[in-house]
Amino acid sequence: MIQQYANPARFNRLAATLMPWFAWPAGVLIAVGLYFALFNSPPDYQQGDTVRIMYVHVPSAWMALFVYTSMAISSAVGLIWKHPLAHLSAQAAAPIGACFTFVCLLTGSLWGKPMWGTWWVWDARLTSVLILFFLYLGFMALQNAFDDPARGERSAAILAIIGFINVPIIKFSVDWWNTLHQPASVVKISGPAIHSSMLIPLFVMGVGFTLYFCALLLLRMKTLMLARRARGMSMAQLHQQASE
Amino acid sequence: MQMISDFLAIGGYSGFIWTAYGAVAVVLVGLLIVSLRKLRTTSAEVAALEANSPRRRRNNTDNKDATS
Amino acid sequence: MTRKRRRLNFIILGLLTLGVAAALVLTALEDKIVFFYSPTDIVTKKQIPTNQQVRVGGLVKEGTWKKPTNDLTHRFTVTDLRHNIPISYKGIIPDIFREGQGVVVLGKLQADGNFQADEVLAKHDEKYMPPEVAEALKKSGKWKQTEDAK
Repeated sequence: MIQQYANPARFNRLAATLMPWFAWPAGVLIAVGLYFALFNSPPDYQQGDTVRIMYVHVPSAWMALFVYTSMAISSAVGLIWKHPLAHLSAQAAAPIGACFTFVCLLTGSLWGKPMWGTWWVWDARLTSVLILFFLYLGFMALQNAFDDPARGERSAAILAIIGFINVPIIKFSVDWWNTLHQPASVVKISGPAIHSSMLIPLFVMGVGFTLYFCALLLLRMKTLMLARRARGMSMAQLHQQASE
Repeated sequence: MQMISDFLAIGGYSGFIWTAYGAVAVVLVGLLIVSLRKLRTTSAEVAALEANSPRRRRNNTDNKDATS
Repeated sequence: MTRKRRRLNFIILGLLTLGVAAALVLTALEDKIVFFYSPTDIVTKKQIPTNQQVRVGGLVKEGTWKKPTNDLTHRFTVTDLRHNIPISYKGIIPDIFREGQGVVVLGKLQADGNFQADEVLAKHDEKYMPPEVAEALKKSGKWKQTEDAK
């Protein structure tokens, strides 16, 4: 049953239907989010205008974790049920997740310097996010490390699943250990500690980033599928030439 | 004019804020452009191979590729 | 048991094992992973060496911040509301350094109980709000001080 979605033609039809529903709202929401973030939201009572960095830093951090989680799930599905699209989806997601993690680290650094007084510290939160970035890079490297793509796929999938242990560590690092990074502001038991005038633009950006990821994921999966087809076809042509 | 320069100077930390937003724009737009370009070149590659191949067995190859 | 079922079980079991192992390792490394000690740690844990740089974190105690005079030295007290550590620091402090706010200080504990700081980092809490809202909260008495100096 599950195999029927593996048909590339089916996937392409589905992707083509979904794409406009991701791409356009992503553009609109990010534009609206940027307008609020830069022009129409208050400065913070303590941090002044640097709080504006939050509107890109926090959604990037959410995406870094979300994309990794999706990658770990796809990898598990790929290993257990051998669904052909699963590894493809993990492979397509990895560079996007790596970019979000990089942006998260960079904007965090640019926020840390003026507020905390340092670009970087080795506290549990910052270090675990840096590890997440290396997990993404490791996943991409491992995938291409073997001559046999199927072996690379499987090895990378195992790394993705093992590395998933880092995701709850990142989330709860600020509660489990003393860190320079402050505890969670939005996703916490007692409800968000952010005023609604800042929370709304933050959510708009968050949804915008998520849709951007979905659109880009479909696009990259389609590309990978085409690349696979090109590989298969050129192999077939080589065989044909050899047998003629 | 004064308003624009005030805006650009937001609270004395403008350098940090604009660098952060600039970096986000460069990375996210850059990734989008790279991905689109890759899709185009790969599509062209497949089209060229298809034109080259003597027999057209579209649906057949599709299925075979997916399960390989 | 089908092969799929077996692979699923294997992955679940593997993740559980890995989770337990990670939890054990992280618990064992607790002291290495914490970024700073609280004043209570410094006062009660006698094993913290006096000749080595450590980080102390807490709140800047209200009314203790003396700005530099001739000797260019900031003096303030870091508290976790149980114990206090007096700090002296020669250098630039972050902009959001304030009394009643979080701070993490790197330096050496002197034999006399004073803490000589080489670096002062500000640690802010997780609350974000416009200045007017903060003002209004303070006026209405609903302002809640961060209960722990984490």
